[in-house]
Amino acid sequence: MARDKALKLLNTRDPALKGLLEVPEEEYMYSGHNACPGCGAAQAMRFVLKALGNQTINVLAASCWSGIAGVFPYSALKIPVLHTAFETAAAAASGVRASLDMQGDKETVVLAWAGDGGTFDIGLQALSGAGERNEDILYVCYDNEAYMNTGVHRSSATPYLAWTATTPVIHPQDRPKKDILAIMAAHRIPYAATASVAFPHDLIEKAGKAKGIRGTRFLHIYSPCTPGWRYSPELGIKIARLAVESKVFPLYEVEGGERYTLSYRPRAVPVREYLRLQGRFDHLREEEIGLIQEEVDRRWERLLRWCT
Amino acid sequence: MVKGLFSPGMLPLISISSRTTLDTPTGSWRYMRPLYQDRTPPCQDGCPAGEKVQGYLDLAKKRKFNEAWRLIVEDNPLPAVMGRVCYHPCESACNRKDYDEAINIHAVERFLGDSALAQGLELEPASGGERGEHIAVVGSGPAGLSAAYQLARRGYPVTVFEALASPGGVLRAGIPPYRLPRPILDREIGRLQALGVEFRTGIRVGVDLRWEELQRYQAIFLAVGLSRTRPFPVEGARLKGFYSGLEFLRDFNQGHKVRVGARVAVIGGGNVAIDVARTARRLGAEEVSLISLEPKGELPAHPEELEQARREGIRLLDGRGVRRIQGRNSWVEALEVARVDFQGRDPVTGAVAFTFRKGKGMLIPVETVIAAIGQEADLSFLPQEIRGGGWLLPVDDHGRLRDTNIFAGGDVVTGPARAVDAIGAGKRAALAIHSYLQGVLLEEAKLPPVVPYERLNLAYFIPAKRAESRSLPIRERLAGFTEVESGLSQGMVRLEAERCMSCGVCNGCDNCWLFCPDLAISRKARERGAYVINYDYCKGCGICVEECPRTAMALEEEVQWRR
Ligand SMILES: Cc1cc2nc3c(=O)[nH]c(=O)nc-3n(C[C@H](O)[C@H](O)[C@H](O)COP(=O)(O)OP(=O)(O)OC[C@H]3O[C@@H](n4cnc5c(N)ncnc54)[C@H](O)[C@@H]3O)c2cc1C
Ligand code: SF4
Ligand code: SF4
Ligand code: SF4
Ligand code: SF4
Repeated sequence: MARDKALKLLNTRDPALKGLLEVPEEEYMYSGHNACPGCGAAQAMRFVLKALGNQTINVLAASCWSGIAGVFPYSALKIPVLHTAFETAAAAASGVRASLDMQGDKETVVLAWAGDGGTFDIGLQALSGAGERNEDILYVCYDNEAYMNTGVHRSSATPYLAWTATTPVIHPQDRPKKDILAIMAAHRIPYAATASVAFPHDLIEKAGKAKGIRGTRFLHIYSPCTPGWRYSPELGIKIARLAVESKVFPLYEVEGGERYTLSYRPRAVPVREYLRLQGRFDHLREEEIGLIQEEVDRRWERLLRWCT
Repeated sequence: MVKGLFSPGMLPLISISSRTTLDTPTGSWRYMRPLYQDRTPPCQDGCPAGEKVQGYLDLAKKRKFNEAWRLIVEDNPLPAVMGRVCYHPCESACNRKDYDEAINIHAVERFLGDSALAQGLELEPASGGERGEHIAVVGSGPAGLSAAYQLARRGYPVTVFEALASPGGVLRAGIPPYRLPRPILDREIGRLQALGVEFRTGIRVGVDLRWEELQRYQAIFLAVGLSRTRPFPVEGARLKGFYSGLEFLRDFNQGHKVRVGARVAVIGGGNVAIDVARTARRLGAEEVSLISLEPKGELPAHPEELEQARREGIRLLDGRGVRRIQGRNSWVEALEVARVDFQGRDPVTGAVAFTFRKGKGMLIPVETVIAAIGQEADLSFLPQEIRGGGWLLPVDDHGRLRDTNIFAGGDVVTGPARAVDAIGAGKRAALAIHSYLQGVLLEEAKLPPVVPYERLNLAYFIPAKRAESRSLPIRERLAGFTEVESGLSQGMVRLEAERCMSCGVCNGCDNCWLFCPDLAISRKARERGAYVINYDYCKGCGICVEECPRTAMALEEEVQWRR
């Protein structure tokens, strides 16, 4: 007990010591998958499956992950995967759920997995429908803020002023990132949360919590992309951590569409430190960074109001 | 597995993977290679005895106190003593001081030393068996004790000659018991005896035993320290009531009667002067003034010692020199002090340069004057050709006097230094003697590079206050010689050990394993050093290296490994 107390006092952020206590040993993913070196999406899947276990079916929409999971006849996952079309993750998952229900299987978790393009844009209709019907599925969006697999094309998850192949420096992204969690909360689904690969304990805890809830559950996972964001691969976790610490990507939960809870209080790092590590923001001038900082602060204040 | 999905006859009419990606060894993509590679923590580098500080903190954290103690005594046989008296340069080197406060290393060392004493743990010989060569050690201060221990545990018969009635050197004859209770010293030295070291006390080589008689030993280690007081070159130093600091402490510590008046002046600004002043205070002196040539802030005394003296009501008269001691009926009556311009101190000889400023001095009425202005070596027992012409003994890099079987270490080689320097010198000399006697080349212990603070990944640490030992209230201190510092409790020691960032040494935190996107790291054994990288699948992203909180990994270019 003294040890637990010491951990609380000293190392609540040391994944080290926390890890010894919490992260499940078992893996549900194989090495040799096709993700780029340092891929955040690969980390996201690994963490989520650690929480869900092998009684899980993955419904995988077209995305980077379609490639990561292996080309035929290989599979990178130890659980069944149903590859499906770009816009259909939520619809196909609803179907798999119905089939399991008919077989009397209430236990198996149906995990819909899609990127930000397949969630924020193309798959939004199917996702909204599933959420409105409160389908008993867990939907995970791993968000790397553009259509990376097709060649770094802008999505409605691409942040304000970021470079992509379709928003070049002379015409960078001119709209703010869509607030997908607010959209999902508006469906009054039982559970929606943000998570980050830089905070695996929080991520695994949230996936585990979602597993225990019935109805539509939505996890929005921030996952860095080396080629798309133009940074050196070892920096992925650092960037993800700074996204949280700078309040660009706060960690929080929304229960029943209304109860907002903050998961982690950031150290309030200036957004500049976060932006400067990534080539996609290289072109930003100081006043533009200032604009981003203002927007981040404003949205943070709003989130804090909701959280009380 | 999901029930039924793959059972025969139920296969849906779509293509199904039959193999896993383990068939595709993606390690071939790699152009950078991560490696497990421990580095040297700055604390270890900062300890002149080379104690593996990070190692014993890690063991203490896991409650393995006895193992932690065993790790300390590889380098220093006196943990309970050194945990009390060491000025802990390890803490000045500790990376954590740049984050919040340095780890309270000496307090942990003291706890481990005390806990081993409480359990009666004994020192053990290193493997290698007994040896025939007999070694003489002259002087039983920390240098002599450390060398005797390191030689005895390697199987050599060792005899220590000590001029005073009991062994310990300055630890016994200098440092007052309120900083180092004598039972602690006795018991740690007793362990050396139990290990087989022979002590012959009350024998001053050159007086009670002729130097030539030491020639029957195969090797000699000289650790005679600085036992002579430098004469005080001021009028009045012959008066009654005037003492030299070293002799004053030596007399008191050996149980001789020493008396001080109600008003005492201590001359000097070093640690010895402070020990004298604090001792005088405990012997009943009501007004104790410390008179130093150096201005405040430049005093050679350790700041912690200075602060304790201040709390005990000792008055500092800094930047002042003594013009003369005034006497009456051959007893000290007053001291004339005046402001000086201090110009510096020779670090080896201790000689100071200063000039008195113009103007009248001030007269301080006192009954006792104690001068602690430095010590020097007494080398008169050595033949001229061995001692050379200098203040100190001239030795080579291995502590050997040229072309002889005589080695030397400690203050007699360095001039006034710290006990921990003497422990380190004794250890190194023992190794040199060992290789000299066995005719083997001295192995230079090559440590990997030290990890600077900038190389730590600070995201994984959170600020935490340093655990401090409690000290005795002033009134109780002055009533006698009770130990001032009470040390840390077991719980506090563990909290303090948890603060250690384990700089450069893998402590099994799992970060590398956790963040690897390619599941290329296994942690099956989960013990230190037991992580394994599977290079068939590692793509060389470098995340594991970047997210290691303590730089216990390295990233190298793959081509170097492919050649
Ligand atoms: C009063 C005082 C307080 C100090 N406090 C501290 C402290 O708190 N922390 C710290 O780190 N350092 C302290 N120091 C410094 C530290 O004690 C010395 O650096 C250290 O003791 C040197 O060790 P040594 O073994 O070289 O010599 P010493 O400890 O001086 O031991 C030499 C021994 O050799 C004996 N000897 C001398 N000549 C002969 C001979 N001819 N035959 C036989 N024996 C002989 C002497 O009697 C003595 O016992 C202090 C020093 C003094 C004087
Ligand atoms: S002996 Fe002194 S320097 Fe070495 S570890 Fe102990 S306290 Fe630190
Ligand atoms: S934090 Fe620990 S390992 Fe690092 S220098 Fe300090 S004591 Fe040594
Ligand atoms: S994190 Fe994994 S893949 Fe990346 S360098 Fe380390 S071992 Fe290799
Ligand atoms: S990340 Fe942790 S487990 Fe891995 S090498 Fe560094 S200290 Fe050891």
